[in-house]
Amino acid sequence: MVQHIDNPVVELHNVTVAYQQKPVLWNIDYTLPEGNLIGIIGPNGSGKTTMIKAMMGLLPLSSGYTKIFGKDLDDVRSRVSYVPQRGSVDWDFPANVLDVVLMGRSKPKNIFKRLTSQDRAIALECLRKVKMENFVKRQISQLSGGQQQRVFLARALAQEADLYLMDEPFVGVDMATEQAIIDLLKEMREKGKTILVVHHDLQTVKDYFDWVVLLNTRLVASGKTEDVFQSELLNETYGGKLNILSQVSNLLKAKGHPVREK
Amino acid sequence: MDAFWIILTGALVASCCALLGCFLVLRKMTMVGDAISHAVLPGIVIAYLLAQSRASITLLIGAAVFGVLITLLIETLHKQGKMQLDAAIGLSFTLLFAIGVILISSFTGQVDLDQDCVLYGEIAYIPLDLGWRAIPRQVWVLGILLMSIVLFIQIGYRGLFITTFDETFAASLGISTLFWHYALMSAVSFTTVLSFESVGAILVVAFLVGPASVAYLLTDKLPQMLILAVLAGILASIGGYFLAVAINGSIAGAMASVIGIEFGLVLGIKKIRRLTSKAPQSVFGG
Ligand SMILES: Nc1ncnc2c1ncn2[C@@H]1O[C@H](COP(=O)(O)OP(=O)(O)O)[C@@H](O)[C@H]1O
Ligand SMILES: [Mg+2]
Repeated sequence: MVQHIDNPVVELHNVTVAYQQKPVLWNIDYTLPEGNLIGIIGPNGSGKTTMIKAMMGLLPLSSGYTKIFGKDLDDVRSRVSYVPQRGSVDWDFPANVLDVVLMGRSKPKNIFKRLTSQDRAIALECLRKVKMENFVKRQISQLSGGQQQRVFLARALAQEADLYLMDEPFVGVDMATEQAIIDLLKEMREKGKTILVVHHDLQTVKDYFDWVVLLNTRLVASGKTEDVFQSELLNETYGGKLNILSQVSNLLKAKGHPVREK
Repeated sequence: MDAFWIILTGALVASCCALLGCFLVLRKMTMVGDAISHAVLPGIVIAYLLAQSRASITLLIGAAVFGVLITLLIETLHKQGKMQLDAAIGLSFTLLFAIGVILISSFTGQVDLDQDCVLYGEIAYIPLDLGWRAIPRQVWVLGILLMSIVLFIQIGYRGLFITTFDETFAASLGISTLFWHYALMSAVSFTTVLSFESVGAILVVAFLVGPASVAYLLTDKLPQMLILAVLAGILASIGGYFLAVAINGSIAGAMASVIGIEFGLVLGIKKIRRLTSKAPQSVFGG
C-alpha cells in the first residue's frame, strides 16, 4: 500500500541499489509529504541505511532516480541534513564537542576559509537547543551515548536545513534523551521542517510519527501512520518473525486496534 | 658541525612524517603510508633508468606517479576486487616493492642506487653534499618540504579534519572526500621520496607511524597531537644520533629504535597509571 502525494519533499522513483550485484533495495517508489515526522521501519538488514545513503547520493543507484524538493540533490544540498548512525564514527577521535558541531557549518564553498563568528554563534545556539551547552569544550571521547547523539543532532541543527535524514538516532540513548530529542523534532516539524527517522522500536511509532514507510528490501507500504501501521503490513515487513509479531499484536490490542487473524 | 646537519636532517624528515602520520593514524591508514613508501621504489628506479639522472626532480616525478598508482591499485582491489583492505594493501606493496628490488639488482652497475641505500639511506653522508650557502642540499629540500606540509595542513585543516573524522558526513555536505584522500596521499608520496635518499624506506615508515602513535596516546586534542608528534620525532632524531654514535651502529636504524622505545615508554606509563588509578575503585567497589 503506497499513498502518493502532490508536491512531495522527497520522491524516489523505481530506485534499485545493489552491493556487488546483490540488490538490497528493490524498485522503491514513493513520495513523502512536507512538514511531517516520518518513520522508516524495517528489520535489520532491510536496507534502511542504504536507502538514506542513496537519497544523500552516497551510493550509486542501479536504476531509478531521487528528487528532493523536486530537484536533483546537488541543487538543494544546503537544505538537506544527514545524521549518520552514531556508531559510524570513532568517538575516540581527538576532537571536542564544538569541533564536531562546527562541521555542520562547513560547505564546499567555505572549506578553505575560516569559519565566522556567526558560525560559532549558531553552533553554540544549537548546543543549547540539545541541552549540551555545558559541554562545549568537552572531548568527545568523554561523552555518554546519549550525549554523543545530542552532539550529532546539534551538528545537524547547525546546518539549518529544511529536510533531515536521521539514521537510528535513538539507539543506545537513555529515555530522557530520547524524549528530549523527540520533543525537539516535533518543535522542528511545527516550523515546517520535514524529518525522516530510521526507527526500530515499534512501541513508539504511533506516538512519534505522522507518516510511516515500511521497508524490507522492497517497499511494503508508505502512508499516514493510522493507515499503514497495522498488523498485516507489519507481518509482511517482518516476514512473520514470531516474537516481534506477538509484540505488535499485543501492542495493537492494548491500544484497542482491531487485529485481524489469518 | 656534521652531527648538527645529520640531526637536523633527521628532525626535518621526522617532522614532515609526523605531521602527515597523525592523519594516517586517525584514518587508520598507516598501512597505506607503509605501502606508498615501498611502492615508490620502482618509480624511482624506472625514472632513473629512463632519465639516466639522479636529479631529485626526475626521481620525484617517478615516485609520485607510483605513489598515486598504488593508492589506485589498493582502491581497485578493495572496491572492485572485493579484497579485504589489509590484503589489498599487502599484495600491492609487496608486488611493487619486489619489482623495484628486481630492477635494482638486475641493473646494478648501470644504477647508482643500491639496496642498502634505499632501505637504510645514507644520512651519514648528508653533510658531504653541500648546496647553496654551504648548507647541505637535503636540508634545503626537506626544509622547503616541511614548510609546504605545514602550509598544506594549515590551509586544509578543516577539510582534513572533517573527512578524517566522518567521511560520509563530509560527502553528504558535498565535500569531495576523494580530493582530500588523494591530496594527503600525494603529500605522503612526496615526503617519502624526498626523505628516501637521506634516511631510507624503513625510517620513513617508522617516522610516519611512530611519532603520531606516541602523540595519539598522549592527548585527545588534534592540534596538540600534531605538535607532540613533531616533538616525539625530533627527540627520536637527536636520541637516535647519539645512540648510533655510542654503539657505533646505523644512524637511521638507531633513530627508528628510539621511536620504538618512546612508544613503549608512553604505553607502559599509561598502563601503570590506569592500574594505579583503578586500584582504589576496586577496594571500594568490592
Ligand atoms: N558496504 C556494503 N557492502 C555489501 N553489503 C552491504 C554493505 N552495506 C550493507 N550491506 C548489506 O545490505 C543490506 C542492507 O543493509 P542496511 O542498509 O545497512 O540495512 P539496515 O540499515 O536496514 O539494517 C544488508 O544485508 C547488509 O548486509
Ligand atoms: Mg542501518
